[in-house]
Amino acid sequence: MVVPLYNEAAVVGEVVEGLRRSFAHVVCVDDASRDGSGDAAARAGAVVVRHPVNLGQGAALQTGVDWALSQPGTRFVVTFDADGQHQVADAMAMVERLRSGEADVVIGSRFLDGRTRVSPLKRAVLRAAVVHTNATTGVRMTDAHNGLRAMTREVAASLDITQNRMAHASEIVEQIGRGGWRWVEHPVEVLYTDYSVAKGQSVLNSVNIVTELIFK
Amino acid sequence: MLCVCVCSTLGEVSGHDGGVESVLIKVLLMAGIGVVALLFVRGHSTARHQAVRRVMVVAFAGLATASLLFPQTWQSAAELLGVGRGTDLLLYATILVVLGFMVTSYLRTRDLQRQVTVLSRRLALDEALAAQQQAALVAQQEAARAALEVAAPVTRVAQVPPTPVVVDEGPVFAALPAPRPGRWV
Repeated sequence: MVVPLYNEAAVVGEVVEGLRRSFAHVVCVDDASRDGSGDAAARAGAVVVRHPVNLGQGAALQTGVDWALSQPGTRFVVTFDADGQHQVADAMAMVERLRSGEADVVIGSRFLDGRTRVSPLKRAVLRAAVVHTNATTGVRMTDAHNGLRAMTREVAASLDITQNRMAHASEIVEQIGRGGWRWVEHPVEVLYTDYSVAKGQSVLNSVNIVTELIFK
Repeated sequence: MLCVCVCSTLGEVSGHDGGVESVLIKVLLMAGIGVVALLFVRGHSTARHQAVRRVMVVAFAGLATASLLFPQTWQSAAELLGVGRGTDLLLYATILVVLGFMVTSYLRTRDLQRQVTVLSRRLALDEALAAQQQAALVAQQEAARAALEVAAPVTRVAQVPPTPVVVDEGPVFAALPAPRPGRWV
């Protein structure tokens, strides 16, 4: 269970505790948070890998994946956001689908059922991201920027995320497409609490993502 | 953006002069832009790139000195190329240089960023692994101790306080000269 972590001290303890009830191994990659997030995660029972300097979410994900692969017993790797927007039940269902051998990668999508409420502007931006990702990667997905993904060890080992900042989401999709892995989408709920809305991706950040993708 | 800038000023220039000559500068500038674009696509800097950069710095210094000593050379060069004035030619050259500088420094920053990423990741993983191994070791020792306690409750030997080691300082004092009372009085 890989949780990239940056300045989420207020909620990460709760998130990790929730995860630990169902998943034995939770690693939080603390991306040089300044608010003690790493300690909060460690108290809640996660292994904490600390970046000495802030590198971005893509780098944190890759570090977490590297850690998971360094552990001998790892069969599946799940990425999960630290801000509490994902549901543990969704993650468990996704791992179950991996375990059944149905696919190598299960990717969360907030648009497959009606549970997630998205503001019209955000929906438009996410749709644009999907159109772009589909056009450039040849993988047809309904939600390109979802932090909840589950994959087998083999897929995790094939990932090489070079986009340190936010453009890594498209990069992961691209690498899954290129690797020829069997992937499915799984409907997940993204809970936009006041906290995650205040903290999360502003729509403006999509400008950064587009720039990073063009000048990669 | 800079390209747009070059092109728009070029448009004005050809409007002034027209003729075949302005084609020459257009071709030259386009070639320059092409080289910069190629740099951008080619990416990684190598030792050869560095050598080229150094040669260019020397050439730049030489040209700068030359244009100080013979300012009219820009004018004649401009006329030769079909640009109206020497200052215009200087402007185009500057834009090209700035463009090239932007691209090379962007590439170098990106390479540096990648190196920093790899380094920090290695560091973070090593630290976490060391912490994990230490925790495992401590747990192992705790378990071993607990097992021992269960198997044979330790009858603790009464701790004898260690005898303090007394150093014989006699000779040291003997070596010192005897105090002479009244000396400072």
